[in-house]
Amino acid sequence: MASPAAVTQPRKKALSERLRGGDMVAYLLTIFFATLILLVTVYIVYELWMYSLPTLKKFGFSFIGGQIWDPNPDKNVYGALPFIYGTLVTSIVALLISVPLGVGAAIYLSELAEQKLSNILTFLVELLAAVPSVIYGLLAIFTLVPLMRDYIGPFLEKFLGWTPFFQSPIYGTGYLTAGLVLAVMTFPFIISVSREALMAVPREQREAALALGATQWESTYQIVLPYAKLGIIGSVFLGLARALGETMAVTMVIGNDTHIHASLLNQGYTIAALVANEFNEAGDVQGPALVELCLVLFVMTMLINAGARLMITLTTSKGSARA
Amino acid sequence: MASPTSTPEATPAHRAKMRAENVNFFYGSFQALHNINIEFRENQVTALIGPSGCGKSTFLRNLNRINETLRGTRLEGQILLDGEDIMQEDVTTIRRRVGMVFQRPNPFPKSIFENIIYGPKINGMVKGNASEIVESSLRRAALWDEVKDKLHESAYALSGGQQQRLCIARGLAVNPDVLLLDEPCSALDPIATAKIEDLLFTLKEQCTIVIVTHSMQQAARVADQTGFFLLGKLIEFDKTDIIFKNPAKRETEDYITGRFG
Repeated sequence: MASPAAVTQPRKKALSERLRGGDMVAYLLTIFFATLILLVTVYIVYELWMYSLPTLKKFGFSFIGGQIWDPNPDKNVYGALPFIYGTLVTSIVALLISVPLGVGAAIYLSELAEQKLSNILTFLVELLAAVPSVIYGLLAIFTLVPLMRDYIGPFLEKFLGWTPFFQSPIYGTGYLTAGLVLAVMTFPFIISVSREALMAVPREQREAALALGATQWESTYQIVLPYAKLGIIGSVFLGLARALGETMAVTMVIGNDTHIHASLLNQGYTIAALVANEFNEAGDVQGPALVELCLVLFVMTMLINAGARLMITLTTSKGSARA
Repeated sequence: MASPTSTPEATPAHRAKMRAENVNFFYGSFQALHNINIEFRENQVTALIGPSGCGKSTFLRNLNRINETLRGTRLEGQILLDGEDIMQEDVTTIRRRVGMVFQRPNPFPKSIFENIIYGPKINGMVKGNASEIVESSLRRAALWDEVKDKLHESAYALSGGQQQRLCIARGLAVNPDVLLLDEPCSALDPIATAKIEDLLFTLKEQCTIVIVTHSMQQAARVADQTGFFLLGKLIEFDKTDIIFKNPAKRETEDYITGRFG
């Protein structure tokens, strides 16, 4: 009885020590990477803050509310509002279009389509996400902009011209065009992440509803969708993050106008587009102003993400969501 | 505990509620069920036993046509509910009348109240009496006293056994004629299992019960009739007493004496 224990003990110990050593290495390595992420984020904020100090001091909060962007050396006035507005408007337009389309497509792919067809379509959709944005921009200039100028714009003005959102002039480029391009660019994300979330809903949930006499649609709409709610919301915010920061495709089709317009058919500007276009030739004040715009964009995305987190926490703790 | 198995011969009151005639079932080209003939009597508990993969669950899942939701499946033969072919009826009506409780508790991620009322709601049975439906369903599943003060809390806050009784209550809320249970205790501890078995004795007053179980003791305790499945065939079907004490077939005897399976 005693001798086998004596034989196995040292081996056991060696194994546990080996494990402990390996665990320690793995622990240090992973915590290093995790800290790195945090450090990079903090460093970005720090750099943005330092570079934009001149304008932070000069304009203060009036920078955020300012509507005039005039880099002429004799004026040198900078206001961020037109670009914040343009960024938000184009992103909202994009989501209004891509969320219903994307979630609808995801429902089709996960609930209705044959497995083979679903896999092929999903592959193609994910391919869409990999297309470089400059290609979307070019494509939009060749196809969407003329279409917008000659058909969609006039049509919208004719029927919805009584609202402030669809009025002349119609250039073809503008907020709505940029929003449409962003919609196409965001919905691969929404489709593929929502599809994953829907496919992760246990089969037993669907069957429980069906076994009570639910139709397929009732089961999908009342049981499967709510179950996958968190994943779907996540996909929307992933899309939103992409839309807010997208630069190249937007600057090619938004018209690059530094004024605020209520009409979606008119031209505008987004933060990312402005920075990309002007930073190379920016003057002493303009440069820091552009960096401060980046800081604003950074804070905007942070706030939206935090808001999303908060919303998820609130809806989860209500007891009606997943435990 | 095991005494009710001595239920005597089926009286005329126990008429056949559901009947399968020459049922063959296929997953693609694989034949999972071979020529099944069986009947389930009103107000009786019928147990289906057999080793894993013998087709007992597959057969059960045909009784409410839930197998149809799997692609590439095909059913031959007839399944009759009160003499009517269930394949000819509206599928949602059949599933309302033939309830099902699954292997693992699967409450919806909603409150206890919402879980119960979901079925009545989609079947248009709620007419301002939602609270009564919820209370009576929970009472029938012997869960009311444990949850009456937390009806609006998440169903996931309940223990596994309570969740499974909630699923039974949810099934009962639409007043099914037949209740199918697919290994309902396999994820539960012995105490929770005993509670569900006790429940079956009262429930069979209200509906016809078919239970698939991998536990022969459970079948012996709760069932009036027992069917033994092997390799997709119904080997033997008789009163539970006879199956366990004096089986007619060699395979049945081998299985219940533990010689294989």
